[in-house]
Amino acid sequence: MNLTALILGEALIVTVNETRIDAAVAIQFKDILREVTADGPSRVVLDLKQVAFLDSSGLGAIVGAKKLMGPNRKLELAGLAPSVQKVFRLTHMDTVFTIHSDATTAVETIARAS
Amino acid sequence: MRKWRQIPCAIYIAFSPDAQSVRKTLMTVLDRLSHLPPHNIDLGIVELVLAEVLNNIVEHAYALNQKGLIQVRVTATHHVLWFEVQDNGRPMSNEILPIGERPNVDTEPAALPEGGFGWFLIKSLARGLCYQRIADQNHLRFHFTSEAAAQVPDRHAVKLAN
Repeated sequence: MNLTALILGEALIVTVNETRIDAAVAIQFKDILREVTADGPSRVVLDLKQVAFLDSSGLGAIVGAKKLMGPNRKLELAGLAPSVQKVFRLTHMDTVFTIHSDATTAVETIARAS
Repeated sequence: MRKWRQIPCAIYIAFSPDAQSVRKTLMTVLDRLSHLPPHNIDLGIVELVLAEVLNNIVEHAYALNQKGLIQVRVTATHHVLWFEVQDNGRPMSNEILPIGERPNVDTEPAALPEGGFGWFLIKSLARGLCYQRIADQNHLRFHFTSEAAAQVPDRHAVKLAN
């Protein structure tokens, strides 16, 4: 499981350098995500543009990471492939997360908001 | 033996019940299906449903005890992809499929559900779901239909029932 994190403006951008977030890696993914988001900007953008497949374990890991970040920080999503977007839409998790078309848009939106 | 009008693709894979084998199986099945003649079946949906079915078997039927076997058979006929998944793990509770309601996400953030979506997704996306416990084995059948075939009565479904 390979993630890269960088601070861009007011946000921490975490890029998932994997094509799948599935049951084989969900726990590891959640643990690493918790580690990289442990401190830094209060807004975190998870860039999923390389992820072509996400199952309910992967979805659960993202929700779990959001919960671990607590009420004072925000996990947003960017770059969802159609198949990944479908999982969020079907489960109504698209109503829980702010979803940006891509990470650049996310950073600009965050910059405008602050 | 069932008679199929046309079998442009048939896949059989048997593997041990662990997450890595599930991942490999999904990639193999999807690679084979991607070479089928053009059809309107969304293979992203197919992969998601099969993933949820297989993950459930690993996590519940075998309860993460990696001994046993999962068998997947896929048959592609005109406009329909047929799946049969078999395992010799524990039966479904009461030997029926879970209800599979969508977990409630309209809740305070700390109470958001992190699981329970599997059967909801399977039931929302697969057609003709059929579960049977036969001779200490779980048998699950389901299929996906292309949009064109969805308009007409499904003669293959009748065949499968016979």
